[in-house]
Amino acid sequence: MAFGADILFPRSRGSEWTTLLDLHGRSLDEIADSPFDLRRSEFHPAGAQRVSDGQLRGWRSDLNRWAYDHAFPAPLNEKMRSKWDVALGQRLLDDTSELAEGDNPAVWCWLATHLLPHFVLYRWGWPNFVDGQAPRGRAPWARFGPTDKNGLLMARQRVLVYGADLTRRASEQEFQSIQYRPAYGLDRRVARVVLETLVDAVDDPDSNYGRQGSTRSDDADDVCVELRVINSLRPMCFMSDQQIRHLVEATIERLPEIRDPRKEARRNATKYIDGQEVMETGTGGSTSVPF
Amino acid sequence: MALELRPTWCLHDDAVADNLELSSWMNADGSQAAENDGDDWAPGTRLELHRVLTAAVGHNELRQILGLEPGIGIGLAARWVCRATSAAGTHRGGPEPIPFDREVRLDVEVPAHVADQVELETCVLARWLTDEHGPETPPDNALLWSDAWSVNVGARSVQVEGSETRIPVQTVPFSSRFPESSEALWSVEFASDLQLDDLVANSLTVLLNESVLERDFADIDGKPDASRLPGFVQSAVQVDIISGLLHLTSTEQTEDEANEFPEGTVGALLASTMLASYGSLDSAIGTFQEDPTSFTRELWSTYAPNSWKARG
Repeated sequence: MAFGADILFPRSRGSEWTTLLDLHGRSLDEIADSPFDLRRSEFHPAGAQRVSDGQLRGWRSDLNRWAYDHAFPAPLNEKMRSKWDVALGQRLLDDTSELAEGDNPAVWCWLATHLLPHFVLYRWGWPNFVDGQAPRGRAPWARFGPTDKNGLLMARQRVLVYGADLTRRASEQEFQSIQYRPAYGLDRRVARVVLETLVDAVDDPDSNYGRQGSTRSDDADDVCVELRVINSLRPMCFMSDQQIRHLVEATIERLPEIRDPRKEARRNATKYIDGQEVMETGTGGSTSVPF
Repeated sequence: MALELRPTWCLHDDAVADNLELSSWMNADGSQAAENDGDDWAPGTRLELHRVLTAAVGHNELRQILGLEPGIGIGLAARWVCRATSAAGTHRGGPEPIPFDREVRLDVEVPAHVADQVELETCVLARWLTDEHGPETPPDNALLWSDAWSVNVGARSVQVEGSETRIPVQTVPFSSRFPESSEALWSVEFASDLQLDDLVANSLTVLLNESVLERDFADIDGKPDASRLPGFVQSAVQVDIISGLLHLTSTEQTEDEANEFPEGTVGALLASTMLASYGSLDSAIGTFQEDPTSFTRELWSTYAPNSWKARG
């Protein structure tokens, strides 16, 4: 079901995570058809056509059928999570690409809180208990909130900005290293070229990226920090794709001199998990980020 | 004293201000973008903004004044950022800066999917015209100056959506909307089964009579233009809305209950209006029930325009 440009969706400003407090801990199946009330939902006042209760229920039914065809609600391992993220992002984008408010995080906050909380929870889980109770405050509920950390918006945004193919090839740390550098990461063209260059470097055996005892995650972070410094003096938004690519490649070449030594120390530190000594190997790969 | 961490090639604000005049950011219709309040914007509307940069001197003279060595050109550029929707872009014709001229117009087309507000930044950049440069010269595309260094973000932002609760207003032909023809200028439609915790924006719509607007408040092209309505009409609509909401909702709420309604709800609107007009909710409800004439007069006083004169 694809929605047209002239249809308006409900919005939430962020405090509505409180409606999920009573549901905290319930299973995915239990919340896959949660009730919602459009009457108490905010819409932009302009425009005559608001999405109806029936349209939203129909869409959710479609999405649920689609999700059950994609292994939902079987547990996800890291590889499956990445696959699910791309598939969900593509599906949400297909259905809402025409929507005038399709990029609006307030809309995705409402959808994540009221219509599709089960998809957020499937990927990110319930926020951890604090003192035996469901946590309060916006931060623990950020995957439902009105920012780019919203779980549904993030999946959609990655496919929108990077395309499905590039999204499949990138790691979580690479996404976040760009996302958390808004000085250049908000420009979608710039973000796409930077990520593409990083991911291409993974496949280049002569590249420094994720090699020489470092990891792909740490190098992504170091390259993107360095790009932020360069960007403050030479804004990448005013460069051609080719110029940006050269800049990223040159930064990767300089990795031996710009790597943060604290990361190396952390990599080499001995860790104990459940009483077992664990040494991180320093090979490439993605990291997951806590809720 | 501010800590100066910029490279030596960056220009001082005074040097730019003395030689480059920047107009305000303007909307496509010629109005000031800084005055946008979001009232006329709807999701899906693209913003078209522009500003003109006029130089007091030509390129070579400006280059010398600014201390840039031969072989370095001057580029002018703008970028926009919408943090709400995580989107950004540059001036029309970008990404590359526009070569300097005595007069350069920077156009920015902000796509339709933005929300909240858009920040704008105007930049002067170094462009290499030759391959030979001294060791201290700025690199190609180096930022020489930005208005973001001296103008705070609020003064560089254009409002896309208003943050206050807004009530939907539609211009419709009353002849087809209602069973009988009507000469009324407006009509307020309330949702059925109105509750105090409903959002105001979902609870009512102000309908404006298209034929009356066309006849009495048309723009130069003869199209209905609600912005031409005099202030007292807006006052009358507000009085109409509050009176209607009071009639349709329970008025037996207590002061404590009134404070519990979230911002933007019918209950919160009524409570704030009653408190402003009558000092207390109990007093307002008592007057509403026992002395409707006084109640209405007080409401008119609350919403009175600055002047009752019609616009000239």
